[in-house]
Amino acid sequence: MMMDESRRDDEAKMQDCFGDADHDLKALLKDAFDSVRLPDDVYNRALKTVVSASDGKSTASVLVPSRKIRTKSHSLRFAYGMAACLILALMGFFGVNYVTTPTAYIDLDINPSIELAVNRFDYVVGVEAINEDAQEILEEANVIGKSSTEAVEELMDEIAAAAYAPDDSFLELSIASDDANQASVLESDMDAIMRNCGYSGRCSVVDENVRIEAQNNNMGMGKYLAAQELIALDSDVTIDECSHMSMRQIRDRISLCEEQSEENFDHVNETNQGEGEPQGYGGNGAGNGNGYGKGGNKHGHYGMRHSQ
Amino acid sequence: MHGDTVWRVCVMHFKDAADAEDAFQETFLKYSTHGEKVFETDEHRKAWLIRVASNCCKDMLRSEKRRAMPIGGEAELSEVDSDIEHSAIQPTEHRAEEIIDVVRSLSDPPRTPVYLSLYEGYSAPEIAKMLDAPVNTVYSWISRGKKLLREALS
Repeated sequence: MMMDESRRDDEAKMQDCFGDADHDLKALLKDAFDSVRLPDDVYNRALKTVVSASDGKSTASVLVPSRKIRTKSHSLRFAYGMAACLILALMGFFGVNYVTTPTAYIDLDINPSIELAVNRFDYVVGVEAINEDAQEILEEANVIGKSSTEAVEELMDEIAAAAYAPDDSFLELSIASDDANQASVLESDMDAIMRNCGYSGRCSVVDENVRIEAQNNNMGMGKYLAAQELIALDSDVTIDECSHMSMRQIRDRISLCEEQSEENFDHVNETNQGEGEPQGYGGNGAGNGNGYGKGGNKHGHYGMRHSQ
Repeated sequence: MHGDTVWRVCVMHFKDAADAEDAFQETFLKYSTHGEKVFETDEHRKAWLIRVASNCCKDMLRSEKRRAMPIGGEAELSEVDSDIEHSAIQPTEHRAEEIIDVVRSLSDPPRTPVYLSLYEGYSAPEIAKMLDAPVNTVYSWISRGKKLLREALS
């Protein structure tokens, strides 16, 4: 809105309207309305609504209900669709990228394998089916815009409903993030899910490099690390074979290899009693102290309390 | 950068946090269907958002009144309206709540023109464009609104 002659006249009229006595009035309103700031919870709920609406689907199930009962005429309408990035530029103090950029990734590996892209507020801004079985799950679950814990729980419900995960399944939840604080919070959240899910499993924070390697091999992070572990124990296994195995199958093969290694070690020790140089077995992976993972994998915990 | 601005417009219309939040979300959902319209400046975008937020609030208020009006009878508060409201303003800001309550007590207009003038600092021509009203009418609204505010706040 450009300054011009008519505006200067208008400014004079406004000055007539105001006068000095009105400065107190302006100051009162300024103090009052300056104290009104967009609450974080309102921001987050609106963000969820907008991100979900960008899918063009009804987001009634996503909206956190207001305390009051809404009639149909008063309820929000969600039949809008647009790129979420346009609207998110206006939310609170943050720009588009600040809200929509993923800052962490969570991989669920059972078979299927699914990756969630999570923003700095721990809301899901992207989801990817890492394998074909995951496609079927994602067609049933709408997790965009949900909190990471809601999303993971919903996906696990869908996986169970689709009969992909028998009771003895092994669940690997892996988190990658450049933000150590966020990774720690997510690990804690996923750990809580793990404790209640009823499956054996593990939750761990991994390096971003692991995620890249896993992507290159069309695997989730946890599955990729498990595959590396198995290959180290059994060189006849290929990464491609592992990509077609469930986590339970990989874990069982690892356990089998470790048992066989221990048997061989015991046998070698018995054979080499007093005979000079021990042959050893040169195994690696099993003897590195934590039993799982290698290279940048911070071991979360092993959900033994859930194992059958 | 306009979340606070839109929120203030909603709070100016609604004491109840839930109502303000509905209007807030409605505003940004409307923005989402704005499609390819390009705003010349960020100020243009802000003005558009204020106008839409104000209209959303008015639509909601009209809808509330219609819902509360039984056929052929006097308008009554609905059960929903009689619920204890959860304030949209932080509980520690008592003085702010009092002043904003006074602003809310104004009819609209002059409530919105006065708010846009006194708080947001818009000129009368700018307000006239935003509200699609004659500029002299806007001057009149502002003048009347300030008088009412002074009386109420004194």
